[in-house]
Amino acid sequence: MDPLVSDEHGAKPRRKLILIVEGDFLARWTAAEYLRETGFDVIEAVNSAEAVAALRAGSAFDAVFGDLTSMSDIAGPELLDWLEKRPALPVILVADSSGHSPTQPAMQKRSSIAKPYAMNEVEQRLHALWDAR
Amino acid sequence: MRCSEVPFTVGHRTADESMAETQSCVLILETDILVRMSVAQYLRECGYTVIEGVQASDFNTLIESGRELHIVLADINLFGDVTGFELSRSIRQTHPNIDVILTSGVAGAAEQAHGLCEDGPIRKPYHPKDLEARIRILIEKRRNSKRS
Repeated sequence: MDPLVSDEHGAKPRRKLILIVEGDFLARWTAAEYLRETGFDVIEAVNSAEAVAALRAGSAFDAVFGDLTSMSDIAGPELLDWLEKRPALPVILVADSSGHSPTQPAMQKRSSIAKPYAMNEVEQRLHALWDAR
Repeated sequence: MRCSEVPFTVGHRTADESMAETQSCVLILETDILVRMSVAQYLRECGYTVIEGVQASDFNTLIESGRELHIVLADINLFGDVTGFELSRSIRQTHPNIDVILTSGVAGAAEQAHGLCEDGPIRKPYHPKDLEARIRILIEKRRNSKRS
């Protein structure tokens, strides 16, 4: 499975860029380190306000992996709105401890994963989402 | 922003020493994601392992995990109850083997930080290159003190 993505016009392939949105330091660090070692570029956001700032900064994200239940500002409306407008963007959300997926309409159609999850499982899910496009 | 200098090209080193340097671990504590991501990316390109956090408790979590840490790069203003100043003071007492570099966008911070770090905090906006130079000097100092 190749973490590289080819740009248009035959430009040099770049690494796929993943936005991690996770409020828990240990979970975020573990996930980010795994994905970097696997060959991805990773941007780490600690809450939805940071995620929106990163998205606005103009980076072309290839996927979002987020635990929206772990954040102090529980998925702000701006982040939900941004994701809703991009239904084709692969997003994997961590389900809350009760096993329920996020209830916001923007999130219901997204792929969700239950805790405890293994990062290789997340990686496989990401590849499956990219392949399905 | 690309790393302009690779840290392990300075001086005369053996291959083993170069390997050791690539594993230098930096914890960056910074609450502005745009600053944090660009500095972290720059330092990674320079060959450092960079871990990102936003509050003092992230330092404790990292230490408890057993990961070896060499440098903490902390902004004076952090999330949570503990400031970068307080964290720096605490690290000096409890982990004298870890160097702390404070950063600040606040005027007068240099005076407040007097005695906490030799050169005072790096004032924003700073270029990551200057920061990397300071990290390299600190690592070099540690290496030399181990030899002597």
